[in-house]
Amino acid sequence: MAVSVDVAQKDLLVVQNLKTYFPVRSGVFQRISAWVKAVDDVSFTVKEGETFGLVGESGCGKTTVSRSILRLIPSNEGTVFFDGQDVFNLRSNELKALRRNMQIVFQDPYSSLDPRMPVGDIIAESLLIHGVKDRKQRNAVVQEMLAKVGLNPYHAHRYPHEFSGGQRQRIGIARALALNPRFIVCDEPVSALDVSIQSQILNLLKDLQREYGFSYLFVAHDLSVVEHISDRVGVMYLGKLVEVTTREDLYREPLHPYTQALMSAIPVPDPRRRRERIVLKGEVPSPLNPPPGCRFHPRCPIAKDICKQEIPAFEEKRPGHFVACHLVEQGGRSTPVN
Amino acid sequence: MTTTAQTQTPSAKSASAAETAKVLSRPSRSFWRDAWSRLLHNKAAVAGALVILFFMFVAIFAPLLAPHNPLELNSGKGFLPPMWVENSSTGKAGTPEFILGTDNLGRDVLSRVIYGARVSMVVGFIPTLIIVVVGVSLGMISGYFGGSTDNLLMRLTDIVYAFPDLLFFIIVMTALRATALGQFLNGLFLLFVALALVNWVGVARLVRGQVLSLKEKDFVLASRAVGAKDTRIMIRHILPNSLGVIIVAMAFLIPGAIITEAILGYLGLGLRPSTDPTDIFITSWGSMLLEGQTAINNQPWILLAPAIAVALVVLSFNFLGDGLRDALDPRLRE
Repeated sequence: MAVSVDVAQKDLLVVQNLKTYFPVRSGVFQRISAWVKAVDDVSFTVKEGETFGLVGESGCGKTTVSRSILRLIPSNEGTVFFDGQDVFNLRSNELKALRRNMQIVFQDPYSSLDPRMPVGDIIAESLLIHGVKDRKQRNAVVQEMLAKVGLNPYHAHRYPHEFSGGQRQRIGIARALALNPRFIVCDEPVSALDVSIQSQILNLLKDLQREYGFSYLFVAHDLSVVEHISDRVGVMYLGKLVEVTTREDLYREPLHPYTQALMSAIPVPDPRRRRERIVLKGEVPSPLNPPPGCRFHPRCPIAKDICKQEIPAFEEKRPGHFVACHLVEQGGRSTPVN
Repeated sequence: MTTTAQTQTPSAKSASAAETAKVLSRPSRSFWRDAWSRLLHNKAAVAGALVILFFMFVAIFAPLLAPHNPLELNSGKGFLPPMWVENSSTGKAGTPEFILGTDNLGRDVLSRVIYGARVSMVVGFIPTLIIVVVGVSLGMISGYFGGSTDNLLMRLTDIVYAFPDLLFFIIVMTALRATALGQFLNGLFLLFVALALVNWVGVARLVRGQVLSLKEKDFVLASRAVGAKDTRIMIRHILPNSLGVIIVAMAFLIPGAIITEAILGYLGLGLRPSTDPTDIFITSWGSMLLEGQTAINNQPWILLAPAIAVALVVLSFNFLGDGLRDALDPRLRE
């Protein structure tokens, strides 16, 4: 593992060798018969004030990564440091204090808001839990947050079903903001929204970041959304990171064959321009029984024998550009796909 | 609104803007208000609720409403038919003094039906309350924490489910009838306990299912992400979202309990017949059914009156339950 793990001042979140497996139980006694390796050895860092995009197709473990970091689901191995604090090794009061600094915006604006709670109470819940006993004080924060996300003061008394998807997502953002966190996980915050609303929410997230300076872990499957918002991007395939680099590098010159295939799939809004599309064969294998060696090798257009046997190391092939591929030379280009 | 505002003077414009804001900021409708208005639009449910309220009123004010003491033996006035029967097979004519006639001992049937409402109402509501408290707590714990607790509780419910209800009631009521427990509240207390012991499993299973689906929702995760404890999540998020289902279950448990009481009364295992006029629970509709069946040819009203009362109350609860289910069904929303 060659990820630079120096906990320099700029690194807010350091994820090292994170593994989250889900047990598969079967039989009368519900014995664990297998493990779904949803996240298998993932390492990356998120710097103070930056947006780290995490992309990959559905089922690749993006969401599991984000929830493991927040300790919403238990992980099997690995460590997560938030501002030097070992997230997986905290006592409950320390964890509670940490939660003030790490928040989450969910994908589905319909299931992420309690339908029986007025919006004001939803936003104020975190304040109540963290000891803001005074109702007036809480209301003031609620009003402030509603204004920040572009809603009206009277919306505090409404119930979630009275709002549209985009408005609900704004409420979700207001809830995440209420504790004034330093780090927010955005778990596909726009994928459930119409395209026109998507840009509104993305711009809102950007504006809020400019104002408060917090960091985002932005999980998405839409590459153009990630390009719009991210500073650095990690690409996941079947529970593993295959490539991490800056947005510019990734979109200009992706090194991993999987990333190259992904990039070639981005539609170009120009009917005259023809792009070579790399069409991958087959399906994503099951994380229950991932292929040996490089997990991408059964679908990789340039796979060699070594790819079937050895798991490629996640290495810094160029400064700041990490790739997990046998066929990408040190400092150089990957073998062209075609 | 905005197009007309543009043509108006600035002051009028701001006034109308304020008006708009006022209209928009009206108190919003919660789920419960919506459900309430849907319920009020359901005629059968409203009728059912009114009948139930009527019987509750009757039960509470029985001493004021009953024309006679239900225990009073009107000597020489036994075997009377209802007032509208002029010539019954016993050769007696009904009198307005005893609207529904008298039984073989000369006790007023109407007064006894009125007092019987007390037992049915109490047997409907009190065990249901116990059932809901026990069932909801155990169902929540089972569903929320899962694992071996869940396994243990669910196997327990399987066992209780598998045991024949009526047989259980008969065994409990006969075995413990002579004990102090069996005599407390004329045997009603024992009936409450027996009903609760059998019926909590249904509610527990129902609530467990609700919790299993609700605890996976993102709003529960969101709550955990801000540091909410399990108790808070259960009470503030999961319980309010399960309440609709619980209310509907209650509305169907009540008539079930009333019918069970009637059956046990008819089998002679329900309320112990009282001779003490200071008792609150003097007779029950089930016991009256038992008394009435012997005189079914000569005095059908001794049987008919409590039977109609039971049917009416049970039907009303079922209508109300249906209405509540329609009003609270989340599938109607969104």
